[in-house]
Amino acid sequence: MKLGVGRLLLILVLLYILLATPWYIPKVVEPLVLGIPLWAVVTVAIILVLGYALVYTIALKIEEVMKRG
Amino acid sequence: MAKEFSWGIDLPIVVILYILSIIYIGYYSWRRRLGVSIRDFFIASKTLGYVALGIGLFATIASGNTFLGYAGQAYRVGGYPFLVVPAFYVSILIGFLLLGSKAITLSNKRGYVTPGDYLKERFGSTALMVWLLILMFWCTFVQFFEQSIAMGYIGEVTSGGYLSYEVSAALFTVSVLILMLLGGFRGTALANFYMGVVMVLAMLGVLFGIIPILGGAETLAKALSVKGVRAVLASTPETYLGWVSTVLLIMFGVTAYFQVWNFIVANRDFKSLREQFKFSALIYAVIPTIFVILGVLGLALFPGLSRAESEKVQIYLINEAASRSPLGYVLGELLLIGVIAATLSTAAAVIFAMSTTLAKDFYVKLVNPRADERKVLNVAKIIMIALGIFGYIIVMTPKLTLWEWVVLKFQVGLQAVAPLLLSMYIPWVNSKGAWAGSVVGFAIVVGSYLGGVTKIYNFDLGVLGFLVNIILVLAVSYITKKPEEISRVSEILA
Repeated sequence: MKLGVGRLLLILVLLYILLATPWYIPKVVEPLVLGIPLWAVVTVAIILVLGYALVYTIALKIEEVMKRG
Repeated sequence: MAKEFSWGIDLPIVVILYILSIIYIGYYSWRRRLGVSIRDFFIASKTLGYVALGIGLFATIASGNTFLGYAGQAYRVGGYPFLVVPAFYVSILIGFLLLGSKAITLSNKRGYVTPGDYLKERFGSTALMVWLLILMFWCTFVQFFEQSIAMGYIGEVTSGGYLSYEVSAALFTVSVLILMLLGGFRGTALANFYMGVVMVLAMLGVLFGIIPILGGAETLAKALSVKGVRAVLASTPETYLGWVSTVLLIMFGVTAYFQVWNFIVANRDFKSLREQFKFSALIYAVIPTIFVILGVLGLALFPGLSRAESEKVQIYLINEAASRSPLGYVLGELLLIGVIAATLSTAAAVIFAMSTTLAKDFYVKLVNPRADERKVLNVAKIIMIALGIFGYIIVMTPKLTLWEWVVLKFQVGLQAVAPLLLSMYIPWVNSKGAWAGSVVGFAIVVGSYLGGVTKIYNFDLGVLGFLVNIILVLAVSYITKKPEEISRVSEILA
């Protein structure tokens, strides 16, 4: 199946919603990182990583697809 | 703890100097005789760089309510559950991609400047264009309404009380108008870039200066034992459904803003938009998180605030930092300027975008199709002035009954987003599908609001209406598709 811009974006939306919702992170108060519960730090770190590993990477891929026409 | 603090006379002086510097950007653009054609006035002839557009767009999205109100909201929900905000802020970038992947290319190929330019040609129906623009207009208008209300309050608060509510609102309105009338989109975008830089610097000052001054890790750890702090999320389906629907609401809802359309189509190509993501993912993830931390610090230092008091928790924190050290004073002042920047940048972009659409889409397409460039520009400028005056009237009468409808901002706008985006990617999406989806989606939103049920299992009914909208757009379009129509649209989208 040809992966066009529309399909790439659909994958992006679904993956982001799945991964940016912290259902899979164990949420306990301890341990703390700089006074903040570890799960909270991990949640933000994952969101930031998604911003680059998922959003930026797919933006690059879309650019490639657009160049190829 | 010091809730109150007497700021020196330097604060209002810095505020006024800052506003004058914004006006100068408009004057600079005017002096260089820029913005004399429609394309230049409305989208700066696509000559702005990705750094200016990316930072400017962030300044447009993050409003004064964000910069002053999010810490209070985090305080009220118990701190850490407010981490949904960085999640939906980064999702905004996906919204930019959804719109930009097609809108930038279409704008380059077909010369579209406004959403109405696209909608009219794509669907071949003026009535549908007007209907979808009205849905989007509502979303943008509410943003305008919020900024107008914020201008008086924020001016008064951030000047340490030296400038009154009325004077602040007048000062802000006049400066924004001068900036837009003289500078057009180029002046507005450059000023937004300047304001965005100030906002980012202010938040870095909070992260590395104000938070440590307020006790940093020690105070944050202390907050965990304070009554009302929610250090863990409840692992229930409702929690995650609420999270998902909020992310969807903002991810797609943001594309209904006219000002986002302006900033997106102003990119010279898709690469320019993609380049912005080199820095915007960091900004969109970290800055909202700082507000969550401020909310938790507020819970530690000022526990038990009433709802009204919690609205001011960020001011209490700034006052406390300023009273503790000279560095806290300077960084507190910078944050107050950052709040003004957030308010003015959003207000300028919103008023500019509304006037652009009212002039290009409503005036030209419905009233005077033969209007020349000069006339369109003059009409846009008159609309800007009228909106500025209207905004000031809102400031002076903040208790309009319209206010309660503000909660439906994105929910209404979303109903235009489904046909707007689907029609960019799928050639067989047609006007019948767009009508069916958007009308039913809108009916669900209004019905749920009037019925007093806005969520099911914590899932926003506006988002549910949006999902129904998508299904109807696709189903009705598929059933009623015609080969000749698909052929015409394929040429537009090719």
